Amino acid sequence: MTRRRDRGVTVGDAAPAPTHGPSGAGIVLDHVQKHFFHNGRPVVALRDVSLSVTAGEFVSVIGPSGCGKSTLLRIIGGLIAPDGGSVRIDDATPDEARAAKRFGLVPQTPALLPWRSVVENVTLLRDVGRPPWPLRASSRVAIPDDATRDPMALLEQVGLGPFAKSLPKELSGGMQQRVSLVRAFALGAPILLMDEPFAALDEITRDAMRYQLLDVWSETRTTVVFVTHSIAEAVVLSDRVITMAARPGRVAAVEQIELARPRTEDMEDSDQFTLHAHRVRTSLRASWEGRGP
Amino acid sequence: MTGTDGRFSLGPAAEIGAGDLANLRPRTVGWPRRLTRSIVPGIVAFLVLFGGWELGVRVTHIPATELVAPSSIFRELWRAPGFFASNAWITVQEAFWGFLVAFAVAIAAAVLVVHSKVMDRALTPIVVMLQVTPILALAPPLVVWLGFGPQPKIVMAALITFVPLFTNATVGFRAIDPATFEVMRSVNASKPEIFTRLRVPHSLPYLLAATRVCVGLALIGAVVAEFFDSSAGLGWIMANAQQYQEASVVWAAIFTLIFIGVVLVALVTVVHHRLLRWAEVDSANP
Repeated sequence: MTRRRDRGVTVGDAAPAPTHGPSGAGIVLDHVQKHFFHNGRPVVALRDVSLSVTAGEFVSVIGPSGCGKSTLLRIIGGLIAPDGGSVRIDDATPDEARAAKRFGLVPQTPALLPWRSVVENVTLLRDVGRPPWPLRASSRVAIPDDATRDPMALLEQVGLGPFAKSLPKELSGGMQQRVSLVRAFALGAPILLMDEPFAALDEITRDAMRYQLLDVWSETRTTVVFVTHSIAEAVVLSDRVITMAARPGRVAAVEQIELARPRTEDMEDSDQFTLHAHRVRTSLRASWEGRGP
Repeated sequence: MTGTDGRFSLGPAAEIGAGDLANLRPRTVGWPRRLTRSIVPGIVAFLVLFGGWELGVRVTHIPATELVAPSSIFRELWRAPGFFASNAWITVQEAFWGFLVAFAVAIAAAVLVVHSKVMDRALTPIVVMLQVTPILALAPPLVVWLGFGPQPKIVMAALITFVPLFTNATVGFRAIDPATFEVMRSVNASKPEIFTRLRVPHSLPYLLAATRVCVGLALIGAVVAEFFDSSAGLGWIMANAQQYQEASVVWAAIFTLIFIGVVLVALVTVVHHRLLRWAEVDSANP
């Protein structure tokens, strides 16, 4: 069990090798720095964040509001440029990886296009970069067809088969968020970036969504970086839970989750689960108390 | 609070028994009745308005030079429908071309403003200037400048419809959801792609709402330009009839204009419903 608490450490390298054929890509962050200006004064969003995620690993990032976990996710995804340090996605920069469609982003809101049917929303990201139908001969980004997953099969798998032709507004919030998940998986990207995807859902829906996510994920074992506020969610889903502290945003602790896969709901009552949750909670509290006056 | 017994009954809703529930059926109404329900109030209001007008004119014996009775207006229309129709066609064409020019320029300007801060700062003052200009007052100089043909009418219709079209296009192009924008960026969608896949569809409800408003405005622009110097069109009819004190002809031209406006607005509304089912708020599933 690796568990280091000093600031700015390089963590990782100890992730268990996935059991069968990971299709993910590795992520390496080296001394990443980022600051923003708030009311004209610089605020350090991330200080000296170094971490590596191995291909096929499921990593959760947990921490108080303002600890920079969403910023971290966006830096990995090439949506924000860091001020210092480096980010590598296998051998590529985040921007190169983005251009090659190697990220599937799942934001907090479903972010569906209201005029597209459910299945059309799922195929949206695949269509981006492809010329419209009359000019379909060439494609700006070559995605091998075997990488993208059958949208209908994925929708069936999460119980949305009958709603494929519906408009997003005809679906409940939980169903819309499932469409958003399926959209990311359908792209066949080796890295999924999830920014509190279940935060807006009610507790019951949330519980069910965890296992649906694991169900869909287990078939591909893509790399996942999952930002969350929920300790239980982080422990149930992850191979590793990274706790961040705020002001400045930094890695505070890392918890390796030793629960076997596939994860089941029964495990949430196990001693092992409770121990992991306790440790994550303790590190969160420490990071909170360590903030100073 | 008196607290007397029986005062706090839950009302009739709470007293439906299990047996009653089995008899509940969703309330469905056939389309003939729905159609009747939707148009009858309008027809009644229409009849009341014109009946009252007609009655008022007859009872008070207002001379026809001051206020014309609806009956004589309709008689005027009945006497020479071709005359009003052919002139209306000219006005409609002017209004349409004016609207089209304004639409094209407004979209182009909105694209620039949305994508460039410099263009935003450069163009916004001009748009505000145009917005506060009393456009109708520009008709006489425009006619002097552009002459006798359809040009001043088209320019008037374009000027008067530009600001609502531009404003709505800008707001619509900017109305995209930040999270959706980020998802598109995460797969490296280009600016033109974000424009066609996100901004254009988002702007359609705004543009169609603006078009509804602009139907009336474009007609006003064309008619006002026709007042001053022209040889055809509903505005020309009005200006001439006014000169010869033929109030019923003036009113007949106004009624023609109203009729055209109503038909065009209805057309835009139908297009709106057909095209934008996704943007409508369902009462059943908000």
